[in-house]
Amino acid sequence: MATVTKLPIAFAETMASVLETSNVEALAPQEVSTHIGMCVYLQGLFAIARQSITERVSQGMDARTFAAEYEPALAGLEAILTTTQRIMTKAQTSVLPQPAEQVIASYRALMDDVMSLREFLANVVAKAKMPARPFDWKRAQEAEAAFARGETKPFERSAKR
Amino acid sequence: MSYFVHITDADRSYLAGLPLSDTAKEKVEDFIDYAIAQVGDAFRNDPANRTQPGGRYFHRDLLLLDVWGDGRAHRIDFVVNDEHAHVGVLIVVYVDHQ
Repeated sequence: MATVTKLPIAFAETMASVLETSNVEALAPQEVSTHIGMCVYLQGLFAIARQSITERVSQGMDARTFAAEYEPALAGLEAILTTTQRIMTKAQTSVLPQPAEQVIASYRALMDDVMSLREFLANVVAKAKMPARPFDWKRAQEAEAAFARGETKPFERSAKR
Repeated sequence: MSYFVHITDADRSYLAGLPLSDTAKEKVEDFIDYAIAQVGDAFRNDPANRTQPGGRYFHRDLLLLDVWGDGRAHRIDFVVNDEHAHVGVLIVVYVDHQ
């Protein structure tokens, strides 16, 4: 997994774990600012990660290489979202003071971005892992016969589109 | 080593007719240039890339996100006969878009 993807996932996992085990209602003002700032910072890192993945795959890459590299990221995003679900469930069943509400709102915005990245990545990884169709002997034999008759040509790039 | 990659008129037409933007089609041609014409022996001989053990075909699968077109991911699988690789020729026997 590329660092640009690995880092935000690792930080978000840590943050989810801290939020789950801490008492959100009792956060000091400085802690509230830290949590909110961290959410905004992580949103930026996830945006960079998505841009990096998009740039790589839009240049074209070997399907198996992509799956091997990014499937672990998908598992990481799933883990974050599972923890987040527990945090949100807990938050919804409590009456939170205003600062805690702000933390949860920032966290929810971050998780919306994580969910969006997860959906995007799941779609591309699924395409990368799609099994090849059964071997088409008919087309293969036709192409080989065309080659034997001298009807195939070496590949040349098209004229500029 | 760079191979001559032979391709039939039918597969040229198939590639030209793919539901991809012009820029994405250029990326497909880039892939043929760097991933097939310059394929390494290690890749060709890796059993994971052969269509069957001991067979004369390997496959090279391109994953491409067409950000200039429909914004979707596409898979274009090339099945290649390499029995003439020793004389520098590979034959694309068919292309499959998913």
